[in-house]
Amino acid sequence: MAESSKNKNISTDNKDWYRLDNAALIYPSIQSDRITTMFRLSMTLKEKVDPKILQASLEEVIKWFPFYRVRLKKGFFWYYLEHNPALPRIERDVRYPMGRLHPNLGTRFLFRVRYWQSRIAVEFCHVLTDGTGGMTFLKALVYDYLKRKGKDPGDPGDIPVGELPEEAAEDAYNRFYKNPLPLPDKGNKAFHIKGKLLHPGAIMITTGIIPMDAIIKEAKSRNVSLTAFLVAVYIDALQEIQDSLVSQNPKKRPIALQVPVNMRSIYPSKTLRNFSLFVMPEIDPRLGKYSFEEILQIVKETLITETNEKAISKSLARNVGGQRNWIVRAIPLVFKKLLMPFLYTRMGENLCSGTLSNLGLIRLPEGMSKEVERIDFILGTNPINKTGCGVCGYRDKLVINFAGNTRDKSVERLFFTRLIKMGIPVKIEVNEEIKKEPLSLKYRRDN
Amino acid sequence: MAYCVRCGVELQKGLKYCPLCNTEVILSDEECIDEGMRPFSDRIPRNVRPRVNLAPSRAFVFLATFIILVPLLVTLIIDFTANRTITWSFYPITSLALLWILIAYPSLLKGHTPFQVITMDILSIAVFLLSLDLYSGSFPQWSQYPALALLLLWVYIAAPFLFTWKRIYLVVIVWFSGTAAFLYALDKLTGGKDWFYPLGLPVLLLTGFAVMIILLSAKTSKDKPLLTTGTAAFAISVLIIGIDIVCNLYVKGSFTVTWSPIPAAVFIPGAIFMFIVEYRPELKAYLIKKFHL
Repeated sequence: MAESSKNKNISTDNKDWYRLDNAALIYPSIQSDRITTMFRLSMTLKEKVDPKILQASLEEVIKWFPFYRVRLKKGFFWYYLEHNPALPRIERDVRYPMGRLHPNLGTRFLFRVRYWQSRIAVEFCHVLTDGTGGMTFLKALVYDYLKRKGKDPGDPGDIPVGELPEEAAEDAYNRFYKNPLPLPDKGNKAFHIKGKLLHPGAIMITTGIIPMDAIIKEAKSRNVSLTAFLVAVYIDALQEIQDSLVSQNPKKRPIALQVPVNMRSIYPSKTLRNFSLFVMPEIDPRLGKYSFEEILQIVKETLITETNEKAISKSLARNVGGQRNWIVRAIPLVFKKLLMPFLYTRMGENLCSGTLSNLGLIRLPEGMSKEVERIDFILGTNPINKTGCGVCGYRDKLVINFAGNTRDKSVERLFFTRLIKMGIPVKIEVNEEIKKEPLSLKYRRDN
Repeated sequence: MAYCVRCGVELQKGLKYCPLCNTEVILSDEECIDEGMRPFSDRIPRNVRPRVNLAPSRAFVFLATFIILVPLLVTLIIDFTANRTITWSFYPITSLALLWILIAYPSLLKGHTPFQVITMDILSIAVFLLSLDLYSGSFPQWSQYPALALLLLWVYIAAPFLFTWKRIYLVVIVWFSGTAAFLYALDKLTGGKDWFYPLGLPVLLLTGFAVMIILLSAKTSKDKPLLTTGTAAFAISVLIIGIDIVCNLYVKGSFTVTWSPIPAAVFIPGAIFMFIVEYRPELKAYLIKKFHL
């Protein structure tokens, strides 16, 4: 009982302002033009988008999501989200999406809605929500848009069509936090790709469109899930890059991938704010070269053993425990801000070589799915890992989006050519064509 | 449908090189790229702009700080022990401080835009000159002139950064307003001989008018360079004649032209020739054929 009253204290107090949830705490302090902490979800419709109708839809839908209609403010000890009386405006899309939102200005929303021809995209700052929350918002927006366009999107199902219950705004991390548990391993510094970074804000997106049945068939033939299969391909590609750079095994670094886990499938929460944690399948090339089958086995086992309530509660305990610590709470924000980038690098990005986030198969109501052709999910980049991979399935297509902040596309090339070699056809799209700088696998040494 | 011969992936319509391995696409789609087929907009977000990357490293700044600090302290100590106060050492000290700001600022504040760095540098130089003047006796003696010139330089640099080249008209207006203000200030500072209103302002307005005409012509007839060049030549000849008249009015007090017909006689026929060529395709084709480079 004492625990539940504590949780209530931490959760939203009223609709005028919200505490940041546990995952969001770190993001405002580490945000920069290079670490934008943004992700993007988009739906490509069959018809060209009408901006006026989209604006009207956005103005309506944002009322149902009061916890997204906020701006970031500085408190003395923590950042917080304050109700933003203004209404968000839609924007035209750009070549380099997911640019920084400058939330420090304290007047802007922490998300954008963009349109381009037949595409509606939402770009969320991770301070607000994770992929599941973002996708719910996008579904609601497109559903309302289609209705206003005079289409019949069908029965909404789980898509919000009115004001959401208060539980959608809960900080689920705190609700399911258990008193001190053993801490997870600290982890080792992982291998990172090297390369000259592009201008801040510039981003190279490489999209691979794959027939769903072909890739599912391949994953099934190897007796693994689709996520495990893709993670293994990604790790294998990174292994090849490291092998080309570092010849001696003892000098190699572990290769680990951050794979976000949707905690709503483990804990009974309906929150639309952040509620995900990572598992990290890892290989240690110091022990020798791993065959693809060995990597697949490791990934499969890690995903099974780490994505259960008991294993994940260790990470939850570490993260939320830190936030609840009285000493941490009493440190003024000015000092916390200095510490956060260090924690982010040391405990997050340094430990992994990349991120692969799979939103899974997106299902839409029948009427709506007739109007939506494609769904994309793109992760933001950061200067340490340089490349992030967002995966999302819709109808008969799997769309894999790599977003990178260097011109080098070796990871993308090795990833997709592996699929090609397995007989899985891949179609490539890019946001910008590179005409100079021939491909080179000659990296600088990573040590 | 185009495929990369090296990677084996199918490629987006219109690509000339494989985005993964940079291999040239031999069977690229001939047809134009349909707007609807491009996966992303071409619009570049405003926040993507070059940052200062020529900034020296921090190690260099520390070294430079040390190197600058040594002569600074030495001059200070010598001056202080000899005179018991700061006299001549003020000049080397402020110069060294300025040098330090120019070197260290871009490095210590990496991530600042070139505009911010330039602003800081210009401001530092202006403050340095003003402080020298202030220290050497009756103020202001001479420093207001270079300080104003630096301010004007800043306006020239700042306008394109603030309004971007897309709003070139606004940039030009700011430039001319800045120049007018500078000339007015010079007129007042040099004893108020009242040359600004009868001479400076009309010449400036004429120049501004000519520049606006050229810009407008360049914008409206982008694919007709001869038309733009002809208009520019015509505008320049009008400007030259105008300047001649204004100068004569100021100096002699008479509404006459003296030297301007000579350059105008070169520019105006040139402009007429370009207009004719632009509107006579066969003549244009002939000239291209004869004079192609």
